[in-house]
Amino acid sequence: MKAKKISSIFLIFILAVLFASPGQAEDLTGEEIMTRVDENQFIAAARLEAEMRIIDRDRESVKEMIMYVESDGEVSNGLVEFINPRDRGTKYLLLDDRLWMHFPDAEDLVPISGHMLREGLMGSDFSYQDALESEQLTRLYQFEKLGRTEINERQVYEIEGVARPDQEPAYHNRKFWVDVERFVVLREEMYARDGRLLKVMETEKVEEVQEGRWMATAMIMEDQLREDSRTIYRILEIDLDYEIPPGKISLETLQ
Amino acid sequence: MQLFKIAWRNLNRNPVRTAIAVLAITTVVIIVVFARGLMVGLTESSFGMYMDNHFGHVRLAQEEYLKRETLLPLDYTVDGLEGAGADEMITEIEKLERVQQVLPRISFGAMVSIDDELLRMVGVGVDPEREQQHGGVAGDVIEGRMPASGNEILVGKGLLERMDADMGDRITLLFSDAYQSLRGRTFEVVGIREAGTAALDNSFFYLPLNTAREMLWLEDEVTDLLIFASGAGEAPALQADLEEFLTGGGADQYSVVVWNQADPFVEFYYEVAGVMDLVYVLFILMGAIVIISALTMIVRERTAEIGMMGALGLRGRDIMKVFFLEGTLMGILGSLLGVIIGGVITFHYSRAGLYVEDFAVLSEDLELLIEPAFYLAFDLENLVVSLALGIIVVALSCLYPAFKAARMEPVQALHHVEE
Repeated sequence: MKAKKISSIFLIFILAVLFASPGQAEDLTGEEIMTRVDENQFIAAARLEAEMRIIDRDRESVKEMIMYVESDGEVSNGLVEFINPRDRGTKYLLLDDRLWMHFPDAEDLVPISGHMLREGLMGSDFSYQDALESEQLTRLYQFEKLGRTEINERQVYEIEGVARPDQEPAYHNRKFWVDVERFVVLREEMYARDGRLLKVMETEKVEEVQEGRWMATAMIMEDQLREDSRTIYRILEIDLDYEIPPGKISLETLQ
Repeated sequence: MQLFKIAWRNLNRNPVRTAIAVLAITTVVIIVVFARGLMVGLTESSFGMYMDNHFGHVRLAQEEYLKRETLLPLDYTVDGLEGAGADEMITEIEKLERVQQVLPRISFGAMVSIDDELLRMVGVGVDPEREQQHGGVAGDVIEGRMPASGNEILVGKGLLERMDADMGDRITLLFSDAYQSLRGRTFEVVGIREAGTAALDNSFFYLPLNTAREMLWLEDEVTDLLIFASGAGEAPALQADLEEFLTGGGADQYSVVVWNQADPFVEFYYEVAGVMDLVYVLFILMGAIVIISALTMIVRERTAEIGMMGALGLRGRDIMKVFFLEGTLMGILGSLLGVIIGGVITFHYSRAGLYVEDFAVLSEDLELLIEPAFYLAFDLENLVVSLALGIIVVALSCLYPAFKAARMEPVQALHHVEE
């Protein structure tokens, strides 16, 4: 009887260790970790105010924008309105996986497709494709957990993603360093098929945007193919309960 | 005169040999007239295009801009002396004695998305009035007119075809401004340009300088200035004037580059054009070898005659003159015939052009400012130079056999016959 009691206490202790320690998710696979990351980034409807500080050698420019984002879990749509004086009136629309641009001096809407998706978004180190693919990582890549390490005194999983055979994403390989507790990507490296490092993204700030939900609110992207260039993206305000007016994210509104 | 008559008479002694020697000279002179016409034609048209479109006689730009020019940066602009503005600087430059014309330009990259394909092109902001005066770009307008104001553009013929557009169409183009913002703007096609070379016609469009400044956020700035003197030959002196001007204004960020040093291809091509003069001389020397050979044979055949002339009191100098005149007469005849025939051929191709399909394809790929059809230069200078070159080179070549004949001792020459 005594032996049975001891073994019950031991079992409870083991379970407690398994479910309560920081290493509780130790058994997660690479795929599961990245699914958690995708889920963490999922936004049903939101309004964001953000800025992009583009530093290209000696020249620095700031783009300020208001973004409306909505998603049904399958497809994400969004509208970006630039509000800084030089770009005021320029709008980007992501609708059903297609990107459209509106410029105040242009009579037509401009679809962004093909090679243009690889261009820098408004001259930044982020490409249009980076924006399109950020929420579809598990669909585009197969992930493998390489191990655990530490970044900025935070425990992180080191994950490698390789493009799925039936997909052709912007980067053939990616490496992620994912915060063990918050499931936020703290560092990311993007590689070409030949192993050449193309871009490096580092998260500068992580904030708790909702109870128990953490998001990267400041990040630095460096395009390794551009000399002495980097882009700092900061979310200044985020409203995750925002009700987007009907028709706001549509081609009609864009025109 | 007597010696001339002897020389002329001697030419008729072996008409076949004389005809072969004359024909050899005729052939090489035809080649020289043709080659010179080709080189001069190619040089004038190609160098002219480089000057009108890219380099002027000299070009003023920021040193950094010239290094990164292929990227069409808008970071390194000409904004005057101590940032006082490009327009004021242009006014000051125009006051320099040697300066005939200043063309301010703003070159930038643009693109249009057609059926998922990105079509890249180069936009050039130009001052319509100055361009009209200069005539380089304005002279190639085949339909419509130069853009005058607002969102008007002149488009290269090939580029318009690639965009599947036509005169009067409105086209939305994308470009990045000086602050790296991607922008879109709708333009109206008011003119079509055909420069005759794919590198320009397939990639370039032109718009008013003020429009380019406004949309790219370049206030009173340009990317480069093309500066012209009265002729390309004055370019080095013009460069010196401008460097002095810039030094005086404390503007050491700018470079002044002479047109023939502005591009490795132009530099190489310019050097080759210089070397070609030597090639022409070598060509004529090839023909002259036939005459040297004929004269040497004549001297051997007429050894006894030379001995007789010497014995009769003709001086060595006179004997030399006879043979020299004989060879030179062949040179004159051959060169005259060569210039006439070569002139006719050159004239024909100066009008009809010489089209080599492989070269046309190659020139498109190389993005060089060379017309796919060669139009030879037909001018009096080419004919006179070729004629003079033929006569002089042949005459000089005749000196050796003539000298050999003159050096013969009369007694030995006569003895040579007896043997």
